[in-house]
Amino acid sequence: MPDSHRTWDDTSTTAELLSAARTGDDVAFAVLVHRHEPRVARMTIRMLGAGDDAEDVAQETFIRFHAAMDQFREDATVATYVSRIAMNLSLNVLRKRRWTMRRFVGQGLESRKVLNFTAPDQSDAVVADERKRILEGALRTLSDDHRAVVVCRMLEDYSTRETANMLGLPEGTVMSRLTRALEKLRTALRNAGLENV
Amino acid sequence: MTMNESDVVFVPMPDATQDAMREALHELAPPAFAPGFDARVLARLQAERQRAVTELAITRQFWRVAIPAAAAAVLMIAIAARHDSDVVADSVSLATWYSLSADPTVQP
Repeated sequence: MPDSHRTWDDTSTTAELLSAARTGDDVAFAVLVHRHEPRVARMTIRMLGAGDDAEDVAQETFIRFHAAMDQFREDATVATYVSRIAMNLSLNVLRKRRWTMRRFVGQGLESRKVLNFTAPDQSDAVVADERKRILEGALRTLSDDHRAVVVCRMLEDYSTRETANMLGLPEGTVMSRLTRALEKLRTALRNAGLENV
Repeated sequence: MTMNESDVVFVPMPDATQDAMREALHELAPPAFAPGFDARVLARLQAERQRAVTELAITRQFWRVAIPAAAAAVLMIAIAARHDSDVVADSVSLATWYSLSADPTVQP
């Protein structure tokens, strides 16, 4: 039985927080949210771009986590669960966006994303900033499927198997999508004259 | 015959190149939500709870109406059965309708 007078903070263990949150302690739940927010933010914003959709998906992720809290005992499973929910909800939003784009704007328009790179200055700081800007832009131009793999494998450092489980794909598909996605990113950097990656 | 995406032959990117790409991607500034995200989640959680309470109240109210109505229909059948077969048929239809409307899977 959790101590009702206890103050929860970032030093509290996940097991303690889960136990308290299950009994209706919203402060403990808020600490859990705070603990996993960065990961969910990275995934949803990388997938959907910054804005209301990303925040809405992230909130829904934690609402679903709250509803399913009984099945968790440790931090790793919580992290995997919220990541999976966040990624699947993000992909759902992207499918809806694609459908809306096709329905109301017309086929083909969505794919007309042209990267317009300019030759960068060559000072180190400027090159680094330029490389980040180009990578951000190139990430946005990847297909939803390719971006999902890059986010899981390269940004969140999940293994090929974990990524495959999360996205419901064979491991071979994860590897092939990753290779193709990284080639596109490299090409974007090369086209911009930043070939050191 | 359709080919699975994983069946297509591809040349894996060398580990060193993958590592370099990972390093470059990790240099990107981590995106974050505006401060107060956990408070917004809690507010939404409270709203969801409130909605669940409201829905439960509506469901209970529905059953308070549906059960007496179904009982009245059964009583009508019993009375009608002693008089006229047409009335019996009408009563059966009415009772069926009441039963269906009392189905807990049907939203009021």
